[in-house]
Formats: sequence, structure tokens, C-alpha cells
Amino acid sequence: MRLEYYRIEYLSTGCFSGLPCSVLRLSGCPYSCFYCAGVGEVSRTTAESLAEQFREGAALVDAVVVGGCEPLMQRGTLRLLELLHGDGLRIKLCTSGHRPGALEKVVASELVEEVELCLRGPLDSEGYFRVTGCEEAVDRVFESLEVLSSWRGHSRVTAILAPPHFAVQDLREVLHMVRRLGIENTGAVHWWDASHPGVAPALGEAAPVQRAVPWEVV
Amino acid sequence: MGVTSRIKVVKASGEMEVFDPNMVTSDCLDAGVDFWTAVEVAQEVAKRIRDGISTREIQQETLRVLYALNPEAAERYKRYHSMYVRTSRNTIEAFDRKKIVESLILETSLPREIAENIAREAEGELRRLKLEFISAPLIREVVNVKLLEHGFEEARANYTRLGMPVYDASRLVDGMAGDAEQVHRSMAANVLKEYVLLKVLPLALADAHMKGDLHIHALDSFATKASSFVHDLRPFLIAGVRDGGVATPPPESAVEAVLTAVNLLRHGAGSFSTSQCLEHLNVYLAPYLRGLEEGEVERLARMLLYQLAQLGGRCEVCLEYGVPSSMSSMEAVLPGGEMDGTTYSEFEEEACSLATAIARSFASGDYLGRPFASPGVHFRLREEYEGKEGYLSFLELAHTAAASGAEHLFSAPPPGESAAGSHILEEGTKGPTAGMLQVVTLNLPRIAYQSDGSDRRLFELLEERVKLSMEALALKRELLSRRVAAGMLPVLEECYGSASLLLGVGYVGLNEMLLAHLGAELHREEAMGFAKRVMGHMRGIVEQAAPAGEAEFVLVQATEEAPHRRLARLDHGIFAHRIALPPGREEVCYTPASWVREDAELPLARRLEIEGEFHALCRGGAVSVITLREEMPEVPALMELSRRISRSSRVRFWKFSGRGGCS
Repeated sequence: MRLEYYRIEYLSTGCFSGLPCSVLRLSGCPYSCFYCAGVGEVSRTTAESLAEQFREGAALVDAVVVGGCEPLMQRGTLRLLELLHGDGLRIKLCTSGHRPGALEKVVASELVEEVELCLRGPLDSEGYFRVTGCEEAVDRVFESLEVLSSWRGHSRVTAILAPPHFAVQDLREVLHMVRRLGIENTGAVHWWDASHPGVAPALGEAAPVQRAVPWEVV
Repeated sequence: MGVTSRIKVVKASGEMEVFDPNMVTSDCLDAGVDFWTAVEVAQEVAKRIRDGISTREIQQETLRVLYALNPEAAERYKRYHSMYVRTSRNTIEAFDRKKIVESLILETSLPREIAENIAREAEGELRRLKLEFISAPLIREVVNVKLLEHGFEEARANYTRLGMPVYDASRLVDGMAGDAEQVHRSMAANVLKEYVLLKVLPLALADAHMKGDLHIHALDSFATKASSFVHDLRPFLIAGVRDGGVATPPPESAVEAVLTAVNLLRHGAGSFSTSQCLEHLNVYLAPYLRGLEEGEVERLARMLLYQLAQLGGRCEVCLEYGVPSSMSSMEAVLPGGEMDGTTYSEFEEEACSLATAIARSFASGDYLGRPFASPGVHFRLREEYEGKEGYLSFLELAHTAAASGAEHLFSAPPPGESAAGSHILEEGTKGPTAGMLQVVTLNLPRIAYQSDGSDRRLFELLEERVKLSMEALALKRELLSRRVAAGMLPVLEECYGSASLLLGVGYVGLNEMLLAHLGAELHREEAMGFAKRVMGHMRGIVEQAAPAGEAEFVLVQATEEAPHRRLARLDHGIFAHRIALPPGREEVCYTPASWVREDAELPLARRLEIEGEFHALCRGGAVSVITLREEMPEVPALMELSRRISRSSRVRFWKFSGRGGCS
């Protein structure tokens, strides 16, 4: 089964708690966030080939972060997760929450150790639409948050601030809603810097436009 | 004449010499005055002089006498002696052709007759310019042209001056060099480099360096200093340090012991050009810490780092977490240089405490929080340390320092392996000291370009170049032996008998050699076999060669002065059509040693597996650099990575960097 991806980072130290990990950035995104100018060329390969590469590196780096814009947009992602899980690799999925059904499948089959859901806007239809340009986005995000709230695994919710549409003052309300769903781990906030437009905040990238701060501080 | 022979004349340089009337005669003859007039003038002048007269006053007196005897001859004399030289002794003297003759004979070994002829022609050229003042360099330039016109190339090479263009000097002085000391060092280095290329190295070696077939490291010190040294502090803890005219006593206290280590490196800077390393430092200092409070040990560690940081050159400290089992039965040097049978194993706690304190200070950076560029700290991660109390926090501090950008190195020596710094020692070697006398690095991609796809030619050229580099190394060994015998390198002299002395053959661009020869880079399966053949061939030649005196040849990955840019640029000028650069690389630059290209897409484990394959071949030292793209790497993940590397990788030495090989 073929997969499209932007890049593989073979060593990252900050994406999987306390472990060196690889980061796979899959392509496919339902959103058209106003600040995002795309993230480069797409490569194509099979889930088997990708899994083989991570297996080859497992002696030193046995944790894989599967992310991207929305990794669950591709049908091959599930297959990849199965292969990686079968190889004994530790997996973290980073999702935008746009595919709650697929997310439910992933967590139900216990393929991943961690899930990180990244919020892009205030948790109301209009607010989320303003950032992502996607009408049904917020409903899907809520469904995904519910999936995570009933999951016993390690889940974490983060957010990308993009003022003025998603500003610091929106966070308190968002945090309150997330906590109400029973998700206590609210990790970090990635702060999109409007002074560097056109560069998407992206998982695993040490881009200077991204500042990670503890949510609670905000 | 009897009276005048005791009269002293003051020369333009300020020196005194006994008056010789023949000099007056000679001066007149040089100016074209006839012999009898010249003799008469000399006799007359001899009567008129007094003790302490200057050469200029003698010339004026001569002129007065000549005017009285023969005004035409006096005019000739005046014209002739009106050309003055600004000498290299910072004096202004009348031009004297004889000085050119004498210097030619002394410096070039030309026969007198030829020297006189050259000097005469040079003088003609100079007088034709009608200059009132000429400089010593100008005279040399004109004489050198005459030497070349007559085909005396070697004599020209011996007679020429060393230095730098005024433009370059001005740029240095006007602030391009950074600080005043750097200006002095750069100028001196420039002269010494020219000297080595012109006078010390045989033409074939000098040409090979300048053309870029190979790279002679620390060229300015080739004739004067060894490259680097790994010190064993114990002899100096027993006997103190003899630095120039001052001998320090064996240290009695911890502070004195630290200062002994610092003084050793300060003194050693006169013998070693590139870097110095203090091996097992925390173990050797441990006996001096007994009874000290934790805070005192912390202060001591800070003092040590600050003192070393301000030494100026590059230095490194090797830390063990406690006393490694290989040293546990080693007799300890105690305060005052005493040895009473106590072993280092009894100072385990102090060794751990100092290792942690040094790691903590190192991780904190300097007073302004900036990471230390020197000293570097070499952390040895041995399996036997796992589970020791405090080891995790030591590891955390070490990796905090690494993540901050401080100069560091990690290694995981297999049990039983003997190492000095980053040099792997053979079994039964003399002790934990080793000196790399010199490194010469081969330009591997060029060999591929020149072999036009022929394996046979490639290995022939490889052998030729390896042997050429070994010629340079053998010459260096010989030069150093002479310097040691002359007492010029006191610290090296003290260690000469007890250290493993190495002569390193380095190499650059294995990756680009493979790309040019096979069309595949090092990380491709199809290239790896050939890479092993190349490396095995080099190692075979290097390690089967008979030692040069007390020094042995080894392969080394020299990273201290990586010539990957210089050699690539030179190749670009000559083989522009043959250079195959890896995809995405815009700058002409080779991958250092046998590293996998920094931006090649392959898992870290595979990268280190490939590089580790060659670490074992490089007894002189090899390191893998793990590039981190994050601005602020997470320390726990780095720690875990190091532990895994030490357990499951063949890589002997590694470091973390935010920069790739061409940065």
C-alpha cells in the first residue's frame, strides 16, 4: 500500500518523551490554514518500505512519531502503524483530529503508545473555520477528543496559536473544554509567529517560527 | 699605520670595529678611483681620524682628501657612495656590493666568482634606478631576478625572503585578525609556512601539498613542534613542572595539583601545536580531594575549567566516572608526590565527585553562560559505570553540556582496550600517554578523478600517495628528534621515552571518491565493499610499514584541522568537469574522512554502522558526528541515545553537533 510523505527525520530528541525518535511527516491535509504555505515536495513509497527503514534504525532509535498534516488521511497509514507495531517499535501518532473514525480504530487496536492531538483554533465552528477554512473541522475534533478521553493510553492535546484568529486569550476556554472531556495532559502550545508568514509550524521541525511553551503558563 | 690599527670605528649599526685603511682604499677603488690615488687617500685619511669616529665621518673625510687630490675622482666617489640602504638591521648604511657577495656565498653556496658576477649585475640594475635610498628587500628582489636569469633556481629559493605582502599585513593589522596577539601569530605562522614549503620539505612534498594531492596539517609548526599530546599527569604530580627556569614542587594540596595540570599544558604549548589532553584527570586528582567538602570540589572544578579555558590553545580533559577497573590496582600519587602503596581504587568516591563537579561546571558554561570551546571534555561511558550511584546525574550533566554546544566527546571503550585520549593503543604499549607527532591527510576524491575509472590505477595512485604522505611523516619525526636533542621541546623530551608516538595518515572524502569512481555514495550497498577495500589497502600500507624510529604509522580521521574545503576547492579548479558532488550540495566541499554525507537519508543506526566499520581501522583516532537539527535538543533522549550507542554500536567516539561536515 503506497504512502506519500514529505520527509523522514531520522533523529529527533524532543518528540517522544525521553527517547530518541524518528519522525515521519506524511502528506495529506484537509485544512487550508491561512498561515500555511505547504511544506515541500512529496515522496511516494510503500508502507512496507517505510517500515523497513525504521526497522533498520531500531537498534538506536526505536520510537517513531507518525505525523504530518493529518496522517490518518491516507489509507496506508494504518498499515504502516501495524507494520511498525509488529516490529516492536514504539509509536506516537500526531493528528489534527480530523479523522475520528480512523483514530478510534488506531487506539482500539492499541497500535500506538501515544497520541497527540493538535488544535488549530478556538473550539467553536466559526473560530475553527476562520483558521482552517474547513467547515466540519470542529465537530470532527470534538469526536476525536472524545475518542481520546475514553482511551486508556497516553494522550496529549496541544495547540498552535495563530493570532488574531486563535489568540492567547482563547486558550483558557479551550483548556477548560478539553479538561471537561477528561483529558488532563495538555502539553505544549506551538506559537505561530505572524512575523514569519508563509512557514507552516510543522511537527519535528526546529523552525524558529515555532515557540513551544507550557500551556499552563499561558 | 701602527697607531691607526688601535682606533675603533663606529659602524652605522652601532657596532665597533678596528679601523682598517684598506677599507678606504677599497671604497675608492669601488667608486672607480685609480689605485695610487686610492692608496694616497687612505694614508691621508688614516692620519686624520680619531677613536670613535663613525663610518660616515670617514667617508666625508675621504671625500675632502679626494677633492684636494683629484676633484674628478672625488665627484665619482660622491656619486658612487650616495646610494644608501635601509638594512634589515633597521639601520641606514651606504650601499656595499661586497655585502651582497658575502651573503650570496653564505646563503646559497655559490662560488665566489659567480656571486661577484651576480652582485655586480644587481648593483648595475640598482644604480640605473637612481634611487637615493634602497631597501634590503629590494636588493634581494633584484639579486633574485639575476639568479633566475642565470638559471640558479635553487640558489634563488635559498636567498629569497619570507614574509607576506604589505596588503595582507595591513589587513591583519587593521583588524581583520580579531586581536593583536592573533596578528602576531598569523604573521609568524605565515613566515613559518613559507619557510617549511620553501626550505624544509622536499620539492615533491611541497608541491603535493600546494597542488592538493595531500594536506600537511599545522604546516607552520612542521619544522618546530609536534602536533598533539595526551599527558599522564602522574610524573608531574611526583616531580612538579619545570617550566623554563622555574621548577615547581610536587603539589601538596588540591589547588596546587590543579595548577600543576594547568602549568603542564601551559609549558606544553611550546612543544605541541594543535592540542593537548589530560588523561584520567579526575582519577589522578582524586587523592588530593580527600576531606574536601562538596562545595570546595565544585569550586576546584570551576577553577580548573576557567584556567584551562584561558590557556589559549585547544585542550581536552578526559573524565571517567570513578576509577575504571583497569586502574584500580594502580599505585596512587599522593599529596607531596608520595607513593606508599595506596591504590587509586581507594579514591573512588573522590574521583566520582570530581567527575560530577567538572561535568556540572562544564554544563553551566562560563560566567556568562556561554558554552566552553576549550577545554573540551571527553566523557568515557563504560559499561561498568552503569548502576553506580550518581552515574545518571553525571550522564545528564555530560549531555546537557553536549546539547548546549560545549566542545565534547563521548567514547565507550570495550573492556580491556587501552586508549590515550582518542588514540587506540596496542596491547603492551607503554602507558596512557600518546603523542601524534604529525598528520598528513590524503585527498581521496582526486585519486578517483586521476584514475579514470580504473581500479588498478586507483589503487596504484592510492599506494603512491600514502607512501608520499609517510615520507613527510618520517621527515617530521626526524626533525622532531633533532629539536628534542637540541632541547627545544622540553615537554616532548620528557615524554619521548615513555609515550606511544604516532604519525598519522589521514584521509578526506571517501564518500566523494566512491561517487566519482563508482557513481554511488558510501551509504549505498554497492559502494561499501569498495570502500572497505580502499580503507583496508591504506591501513595495510600504513601499519605494515616499519616504524620511523620510535614512532609508528597509523590511520587517523583528523578533524581538528579538516582540509575538506581546501582540497575540494583545489580539485574544483583542476577537475571541474570530473567533480561529482552529492545532491543538494552547493558548496564545493568534501565529506570529512569516511563519514556518511551528513544530509544523506538513512537511519542513524545504519549511518553509525557504516562509520563504525572504519573506526576500528583508525588507531590514531576516529569520531562520528551526530547532527541534531533541533535548536534545543532534549537531554534525556540524548542520554538514552548515547547509552544505546555505547552498547550496540561499533562507533568508538562520537559527538553531537548542530552543524554538518561542511559547516
